[in-house]
Amino acid sequence: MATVTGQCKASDMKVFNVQYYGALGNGSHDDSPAIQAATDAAIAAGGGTVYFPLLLGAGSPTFSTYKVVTPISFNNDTTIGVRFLGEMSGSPIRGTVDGYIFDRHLATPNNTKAHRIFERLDITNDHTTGGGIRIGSSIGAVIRHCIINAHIDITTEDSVGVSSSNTQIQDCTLTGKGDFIGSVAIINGGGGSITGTKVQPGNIGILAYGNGLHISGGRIERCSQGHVYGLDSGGNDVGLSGFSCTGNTFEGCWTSIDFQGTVSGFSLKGISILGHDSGNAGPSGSYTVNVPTAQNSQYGIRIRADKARNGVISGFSASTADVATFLMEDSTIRGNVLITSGSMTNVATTWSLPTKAHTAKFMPGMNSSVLSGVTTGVAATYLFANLPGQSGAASVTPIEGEEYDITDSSTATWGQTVTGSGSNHVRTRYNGTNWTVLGT
Amino acid sequence: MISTKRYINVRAFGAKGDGVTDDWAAINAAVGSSGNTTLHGTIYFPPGTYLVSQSIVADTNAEYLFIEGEPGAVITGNFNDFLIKYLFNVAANSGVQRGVIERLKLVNTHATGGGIRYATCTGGTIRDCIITANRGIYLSIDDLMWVPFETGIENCHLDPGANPSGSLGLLLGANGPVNNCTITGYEVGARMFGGQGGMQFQGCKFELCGSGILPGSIPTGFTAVTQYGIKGCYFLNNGTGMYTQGFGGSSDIAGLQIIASNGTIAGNPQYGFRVSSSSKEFVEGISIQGQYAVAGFRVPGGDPNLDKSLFAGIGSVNTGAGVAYTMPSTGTGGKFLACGAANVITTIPTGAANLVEGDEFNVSNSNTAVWGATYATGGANHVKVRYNGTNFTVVGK
Repeated sequence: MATVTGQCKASDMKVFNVQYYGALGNGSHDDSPAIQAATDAAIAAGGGTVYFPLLLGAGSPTFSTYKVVTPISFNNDTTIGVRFLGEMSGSPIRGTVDGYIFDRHLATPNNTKAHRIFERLDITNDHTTGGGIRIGSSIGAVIRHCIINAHIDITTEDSVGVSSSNTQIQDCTLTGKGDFIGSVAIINGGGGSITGTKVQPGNIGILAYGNGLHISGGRIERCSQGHVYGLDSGGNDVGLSGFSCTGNTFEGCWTSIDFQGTVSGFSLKGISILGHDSGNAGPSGSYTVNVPTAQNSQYGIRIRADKARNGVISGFSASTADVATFLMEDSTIRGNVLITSGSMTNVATTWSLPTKAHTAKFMPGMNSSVLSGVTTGVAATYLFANLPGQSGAASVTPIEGEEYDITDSSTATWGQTVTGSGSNHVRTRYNGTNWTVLGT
Repeated sequence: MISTKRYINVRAFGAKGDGVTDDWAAINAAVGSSGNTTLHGTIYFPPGTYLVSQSIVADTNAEYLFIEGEPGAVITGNFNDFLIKYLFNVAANSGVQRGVIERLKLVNTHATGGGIRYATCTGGTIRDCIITANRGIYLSIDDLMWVPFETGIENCHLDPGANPSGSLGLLLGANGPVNNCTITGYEVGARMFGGQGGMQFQGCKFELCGSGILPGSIPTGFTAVTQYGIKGCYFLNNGTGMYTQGFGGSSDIAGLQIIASNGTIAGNPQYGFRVSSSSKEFVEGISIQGQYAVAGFRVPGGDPNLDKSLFAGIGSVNTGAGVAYTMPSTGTGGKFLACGAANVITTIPTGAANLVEGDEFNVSNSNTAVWGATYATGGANHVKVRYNGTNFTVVGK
């Protein structure tokens, strides 16, 4: 190890230098047998670090690469684990691999605690459907300070679709590959945390399901869908529960946050959305998103029918220019959701809210923020000109307990029944027969 | 080249790492060799099983002391103390300022044995460690009543092994994050104290604990914990998932999944989330399911300490003997927004000083269920009422 000095000789350390096992790192020689041999040696020795030394070629500081042709397996580290350590962009690992550059996948998933650690690696897989790191059958694996460019950068799913649990992804930069169609930066099915991680163009930024996941301090840029919640990689709604997403920025995504599967026990807080602008350059210049046009759904936050329960969305700022900044699709069951303290602008529709909101609540603070923030286009808010069931409203049946703010009431007196068109702005609730004013 | 960082291999000091020889003296000498110089050292453990007969103690002037292992490096012992201790040195009036422990597996098989204890350390990190011990990681007070500050615990995975009786996974005394840790099988998963607060759990999993997170006895001279966060955590099959008794409040608890199945642990699940004696709590986005003997989500009645708390976006489903919710029966100033529909109370809150216009409650003893009627007591109907600044008006049924 290059930095070893003092009383500890390099030979004393259980560091398995891939160059000692025959890796040349010249960009053309197939280094995968050497890397595999170093990995196997570390595991056989009872643990250790597989180390990728800095590559200082003739063109220094232009670094060559460790070329990988076949996936590096760490399947048989079941009780100890292995650590892969590089020198960031000074020791790039690159290949065209049909599979994952680093791969752990057991036919019979068996999640075990072990030190499975990836640190300071720069990984590129040029295969059109290739991957960076797959960590199956693991508890507490870590990917820290890595740069990965692949079709699937990181997945926690085993080959049979079972996810590892509590994988930590920290301070990584992840990008998609090729035409981005079907690409995913992170597939995380088993909780844990994703912090300080930047995701650049891809189809899906983070596909998250399972239990107990925290995402914070990250940035998602120019993805077709920034975050997709509740679906596994097969597209099945397996749900996401116990989920916190806080202090994150989304910029230039077609849809920033998409509740495609059931999300329960969630908190979205402190989120900035600078959405894709189909007509203009975005805040950081013109966005190019190479994704199928069919996926140009274009929402800031999209909650699909019946997909959100027991959660709060608060403290967010969103600016988009497409279908709607905030879409909560119509549904018949939706429980215990609070949406508050948001600021939104849009040249199309700011809000598109359900006609049956059940126990969802929209706090007044939201309304004033919306109104004050709109400078162009249609100042759509969640104020309804016509209540469900009233003349002129969409043909839906209101449900007892629903609450809306309306703009056309002629009365603002507490407890009175709404009588018709007027100019007051009041809050009403449906009692099974008619709409009654709740407050001003 | 002047090196300000040295790797010091414990084997160079005679540690065998064979699981049989007592390596304590060798390791402690290695730690001392680092700490007794003005250089800052890294103590390095190659793979191996290092048996120690007593605590490895860093209590000298080791301003920056790092202990790093490889995958496969195990420190094991069987004694009633912690395997590694970073302590305040009273005589030298100095302590370890940046204590980092990485990539070790620690196993203490004693009935009350411990893993790691930091006292007085500032800005330390314990990262990527796998610990089996009755007392997992203690960030606790020293004999001068100092606690370690800004110490992060990251990607550590703890269980008490064969010694769950009286076990405690994490003891936290001051600020720092707990990120992506799993705590399994402890009598109490994590306990917090200390008015400095600033602690945050994120992406953690508490499983099969008597109580997942529980503040308990507060050391003399300390106050209840305040200013803490719990985000994106998973509580699976604990007796009680979250219990905020003793918390001073000022918390942000957001995005939790709490599940329990009756009979999976001794004592059976009692509560999913139990609130008590807390103020200024913001509890949001909580999903509770399970078979609880008492309640899925409980907020006590008549507790003035619930002042200025907000409970929002909470859903509870209890298929056990208890109820899904119990909510306060008297006004507290706590607000409940977009919570589950079963938050029934039996008595209308009294004392207008505690009420805010727009407060809403469900009540079960109204004699009227007519929309918009003013509330009167003594009935059996279950209606929803809202305070309008003067009296309560039925707003739903």
